[in-house]
Amino acid sequence: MAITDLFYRRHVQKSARTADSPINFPTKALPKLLSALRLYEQARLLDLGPATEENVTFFGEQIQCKIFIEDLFRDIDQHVIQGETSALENFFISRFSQADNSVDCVFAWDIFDYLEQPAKKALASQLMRIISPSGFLLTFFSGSQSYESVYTRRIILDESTLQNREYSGACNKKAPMLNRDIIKLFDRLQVAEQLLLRTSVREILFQKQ
Amino acid sequence: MWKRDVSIKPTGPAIMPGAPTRQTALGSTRTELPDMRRQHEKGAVNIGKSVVVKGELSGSEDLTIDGVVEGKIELKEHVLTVGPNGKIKAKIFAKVVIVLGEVVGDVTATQKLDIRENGSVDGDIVSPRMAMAEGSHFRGSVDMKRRPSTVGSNLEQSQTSQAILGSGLRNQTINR
Repeated sequence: MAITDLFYRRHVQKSARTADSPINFPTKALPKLLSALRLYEQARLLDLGPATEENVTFFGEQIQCKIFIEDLFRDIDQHVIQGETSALENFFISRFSQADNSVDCVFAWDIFDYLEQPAKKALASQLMRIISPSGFLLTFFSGSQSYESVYTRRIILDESTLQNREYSGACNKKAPMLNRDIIKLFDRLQVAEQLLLRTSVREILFQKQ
Repeated sequence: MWKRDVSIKPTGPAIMPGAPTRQTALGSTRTELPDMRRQHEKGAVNIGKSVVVKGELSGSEDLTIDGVVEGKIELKEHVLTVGPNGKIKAKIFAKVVIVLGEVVGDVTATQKLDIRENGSVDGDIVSPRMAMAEGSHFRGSVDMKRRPSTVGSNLEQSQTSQAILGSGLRNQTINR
């Protein structure tokens, strides 16, 4: 067997392993967020990602929250498929039926990575409207653009560990945002916790004053 | 000479080639029945895919719906299964709800809601337990809180929140 075959085999095995196996990573913001949510009798959570059994069970059974699941990634997909991404801005303005100051925590995950600037602004403005005073927003911002149409489900394994599970979608990540632009986008919120992960993903926990 | 009577045909269910078999308590071997037949034996009712029901549906036995139901479904102590062809636009009350098709409407399951692969629920859910398969879809709210028997009572109370901004821990009361 030629030595190049060995290298090729190792490369194939490694790439197959990384493609299939989900990635676990630590979170610094989640433990802080959970300690705050536990003080509510029944906190109201809004999850902008797809529903997962693990997260629903975690928040429903362990933290005793009421969970609202919107799955905006599905909405983005529909707009992309129909070639109407520019309509996302107006769509987000009318998308949320929640009253002002009615949600205690929003899990936006990495949804802002997939939006153009006008849609980002519209969504951020709606989230700031519905988050209650002293409520939270947990977001992730990627440090690099991606050309693959892949979304990531973030599963809560335990209070300090998340797991990324990728699934195919219709949209790719746009150009990464600068930190100052992120702060500017959420001008009515304050950064409570910020962590730059090894994967160059920025984890930010905002809190409304 | 004894001759086997070939004209006698078995009256029981047809044995499918390769179907799994199981040993009963008496030691005899019995063919595992298909789902529908098992439901029939248990007394479960099946609404076929060509059936459309509009209005209120209530009962005291397990029910499988593969058709269209609009209105309200009430099976308080029993299992409701929405089959792969089932399309429900209704408020559902049942002990266990299993969804393989489409449900649009609020679901109250006193024991468990199970959304299987390709199953879809759009509505508000009240259930102490919930299972969701990969490939299922759900949009709406989930309330898993175990409540006392006074379901529907207003549990919205003033709540205490802890702000974690900066270094300070401050308490404040939120009134909704």
